[in-house]
Amino acid sequence: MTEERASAPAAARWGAALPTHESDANDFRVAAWDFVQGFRRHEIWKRQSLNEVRRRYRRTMLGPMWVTVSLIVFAVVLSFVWAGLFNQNVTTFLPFLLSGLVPWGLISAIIGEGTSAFAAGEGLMKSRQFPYTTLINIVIARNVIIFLHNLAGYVLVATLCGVAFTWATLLLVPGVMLLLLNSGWMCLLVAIFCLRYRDFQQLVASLLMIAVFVTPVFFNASQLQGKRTIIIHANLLHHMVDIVRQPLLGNVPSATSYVFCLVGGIVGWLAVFLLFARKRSRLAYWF
Amino acid sequence: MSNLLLENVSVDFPIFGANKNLRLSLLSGLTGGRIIPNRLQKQTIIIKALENVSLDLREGDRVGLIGHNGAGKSTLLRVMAGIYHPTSGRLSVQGRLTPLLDIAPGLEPEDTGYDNIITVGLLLGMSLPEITAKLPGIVEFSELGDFIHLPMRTYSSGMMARLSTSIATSIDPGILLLDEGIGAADARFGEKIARRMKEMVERTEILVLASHSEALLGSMCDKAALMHHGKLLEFGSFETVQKAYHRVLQEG
Repeated sequence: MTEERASAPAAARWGAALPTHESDANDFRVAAWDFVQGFRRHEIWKRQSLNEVRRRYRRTMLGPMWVTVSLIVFAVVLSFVWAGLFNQNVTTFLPFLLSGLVPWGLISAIIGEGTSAFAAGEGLMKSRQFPYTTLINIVIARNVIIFLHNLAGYVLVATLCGVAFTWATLLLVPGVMLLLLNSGWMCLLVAIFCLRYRDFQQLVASLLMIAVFVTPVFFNASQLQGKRTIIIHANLLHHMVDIVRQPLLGNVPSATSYVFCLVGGIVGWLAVFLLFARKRSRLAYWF
Repeated sequence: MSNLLLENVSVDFPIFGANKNLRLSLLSGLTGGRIIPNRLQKQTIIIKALENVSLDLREGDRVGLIGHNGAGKSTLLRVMAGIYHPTSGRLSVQGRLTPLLDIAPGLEPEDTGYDNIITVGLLLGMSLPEITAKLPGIVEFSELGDFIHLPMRTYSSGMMARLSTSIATSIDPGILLLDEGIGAADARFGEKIARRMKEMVERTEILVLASHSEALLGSMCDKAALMHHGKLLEFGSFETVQKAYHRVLQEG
């Protein structure tokens, strides 16, 4: 039984005969096939992402909790100093800081690891035809696993600091979905560009480093006044952080953030889908 | 019915990041396909790896790809596998295609042999139930015993080769694309592998095997295709093509 035959009903639509095995198949059909199959063959990306997390922390006592522990230690130490700078209590500043660092960590890891998603997949991409988006799904799934660990750490710290979880906290779920929707297209975008132009790997890394300071992660968006607020309001990354941060703090995110993330997600995916459809057949040539 | 059809397939490789000296030296001493300076983009050069290759393979065909280093054998296999999209021309494949170009993509030294069987099986296109059904057979054939539950980094290279070939030869390939260099295992296991390879080849509908070894090709193929500088010089019965290959070797 082959994978294609095993899933007979849907295969009739998306390809017992892979459309990519007709070299003059329509680019968009092939790209759509790639997306659908890349997602449907969840055995692969679930397994690979879990294994990669396990592998990374094999033979350590804390395992993936290492990320969480180091994040919390970082946030606690920083809060002691910065709460003084910003004239705030540690117990209000610490949950605030951590509630931004946790979603930011998810975004920046997905984009940052996207730079090597295709470039590091040479062995696979040159040994067989498969849905390339699988490699993107692995990056996303792996970082969601780590995010969940961080989330548990946040809940612990926030509870100790007396953050009141409310009904608004449930908005965390759509918030994370929208964050992933946007990180997803960014991941695929940098994966394509970094494969073709290797300078982008360095460029994206340094842009992410700048972005963490420009985006209100360490400071509160309302602290910025005047013309400079444009770098917050027009910053999609800020809205992606904020739709997760506000529920974590028990607040309702602003409607603007939802609009930005929805529009950003749709427009971003459309553009990246076009790019992917046009360049998919060239990817293997770029190693 | 399986069918593998190539119509006037050409493949151009852009070579990125080749500096001027490298470019000049490439242009002077060609070994591979033909190298053509790209007039539009001066900074990249293009290698013509395949030029107007046409082939029509039907069920039951056992084809050996023969030719010197860089003649385009591996590129042709990768085009057939759908990895390299033809720059011009057309490829059409009917049937399930299994490329075994890299024997076990995705082997992870930190994972146990057992885990690796599942991972590689999935990557080779098997479904989870299919792998589960084949697992005991693969484990038994690899002769790894209890080592199967240890991380692969503890394996000797022979054990590693045994495991990867056991996985690779467990599939039901349909159309099988095979690059040489399978089974760098110990001698006794080599025979066992050869037998198992034969069994797998008997299960295939179309076989395309690239190799330098005329003995290997002769034992597995009845047809052959001779590649030379990215062109298909001759296609036909193994003996005729073998003669043509010897002629090319003498000339060149």
